[in-house]
Amino acid sequence: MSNYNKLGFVYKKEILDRSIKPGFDKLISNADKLITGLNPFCGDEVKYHINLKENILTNIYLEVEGCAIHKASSSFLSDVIINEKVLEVQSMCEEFISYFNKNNDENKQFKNDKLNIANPLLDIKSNQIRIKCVLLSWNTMHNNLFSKNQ
Amino acid sequence: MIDSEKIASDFPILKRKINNNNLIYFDNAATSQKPIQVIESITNFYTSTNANIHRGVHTLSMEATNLYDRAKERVAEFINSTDSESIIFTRGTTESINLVAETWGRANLDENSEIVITELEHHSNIVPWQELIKETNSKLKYIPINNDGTLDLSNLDQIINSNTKLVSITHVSNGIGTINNIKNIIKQAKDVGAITLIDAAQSAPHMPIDVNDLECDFLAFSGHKLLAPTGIGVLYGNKKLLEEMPAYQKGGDMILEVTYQKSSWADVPFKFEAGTPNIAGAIGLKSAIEYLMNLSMAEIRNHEIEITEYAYEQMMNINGIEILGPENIDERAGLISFNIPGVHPHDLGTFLDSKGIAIRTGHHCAMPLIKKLGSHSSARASFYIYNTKKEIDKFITEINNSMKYFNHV
Repeated sequence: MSNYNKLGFVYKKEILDRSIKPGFDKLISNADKLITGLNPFCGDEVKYHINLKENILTNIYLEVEGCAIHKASSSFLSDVIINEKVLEVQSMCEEFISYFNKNNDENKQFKNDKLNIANPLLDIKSNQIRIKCVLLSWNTMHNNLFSKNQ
Repeated sequence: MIDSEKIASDFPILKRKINNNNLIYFDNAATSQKPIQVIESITNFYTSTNANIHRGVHTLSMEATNLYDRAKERVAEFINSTDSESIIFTRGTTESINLVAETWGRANLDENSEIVITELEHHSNIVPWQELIKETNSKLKYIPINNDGTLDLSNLDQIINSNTKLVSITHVSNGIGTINNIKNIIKQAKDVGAITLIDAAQSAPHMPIDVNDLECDFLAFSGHKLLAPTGIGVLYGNKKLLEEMPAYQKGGDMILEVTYQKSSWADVPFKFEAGTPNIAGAIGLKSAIEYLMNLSMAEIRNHEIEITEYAYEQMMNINGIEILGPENIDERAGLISFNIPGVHPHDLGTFLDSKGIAIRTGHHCAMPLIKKLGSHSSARASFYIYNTKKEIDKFITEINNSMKYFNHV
């Protein structure tokens, strides 16, 4: 099944599983922060409802619509940032985004071990057109975690 | 009768394997593939005839000029225009529409003027008018659509009225495939004295076009969607209007006389073709049109009706599928935009690519339309002369497989 293997290079089992069950589906009624992102070109959409306690993301409720890669990526991000300090979340998002934006095929070792949760997404770097599906949630989180409006 | 398998053998790219599968190319509304005859016409030009046109007295220049002029004659014949001087070569449909907006539009519109387009348009027939109304303080009005993606013409009398100066409409929707009854709309526009522009980007490659019968003032299409190379397109214009219009770009080749103080313009169509044109593109376009005319545009349309109906019927059997656009094949060109449950169009596109099948996914440069139909994106399969029912069978099988793959059924 060489073709399925090829497809599996992008759609790893963890990605397919998380696309069906992204998790973080317990409603938060008193969110301290709502972070939303949308790619109007394809309809990928994400909403993170977040509880913050002493600058730590203590609880996340994830609403996500769109393609399998975006849904899985939003789910991975939730696992990466839960129980982390806001500053650390910023730093991890930067590191993850920069891996996809650099042309060289650099070592996939992240400084922060927790980012390795998202490793199944890394091979999507070879599929230029789908990188935006991986990064929508990460860019959204990175750009808006400090924003007062969100 | 179109023999698609024989036709396909003229297209070198169709022999390519994509991800270990035979290529099935269903993205023809984006661009068509090129037959060897077109490829060789361009290669031959560069290997044996290359020279600039309309300015040299040497043999190569005369031969190149002759080929370029004959390309215009062939285009005129293709759309049943009696006058090749009504044919302006542009980069494509987008530039053709911008040419009209920036010349005729700027010269003729004011705060009392209204431009009418439809909700089906490609961005290229929306954005130039949105910009033009800002400059001229004129208004932009839309003919709405029904739920099935056909035009709602019930209030056409009010939409096209004595203030209407231009009606610019697509013949075929690139987003959902609707074929518009443009002849009736053109007639209504003419009754109030409005100018008409037809975006034929998605119709000229697939069905007969007759500007004499349509009586439109302008008609625009691109070469690359009808077997020709990219970067060459056509604006057909009513000769009298073209003569009255201001020049578009200024510079070499479009002038009659230049002094240090002032310049005057060459006759139509050269007035609109400043600088060295895409000569090789024009020659490729000539070859492409000859290829299509040899097959017969009526036969091409018949072939597309047959395979589109075949695809549509089978796709309707897919559980939960949503097909955008009209059900009636007489109102639908050879393309099917659709969404299937549980599989985002981008995932479907990537899945089908792994099977060698190329489709388009996204908003198809018709964002307002896809949004109006309640979506952000769709998958689109669009067919042409080299596509077969056998390819459609594999396409349907793989759509079903994609649903199992992504939904773990």
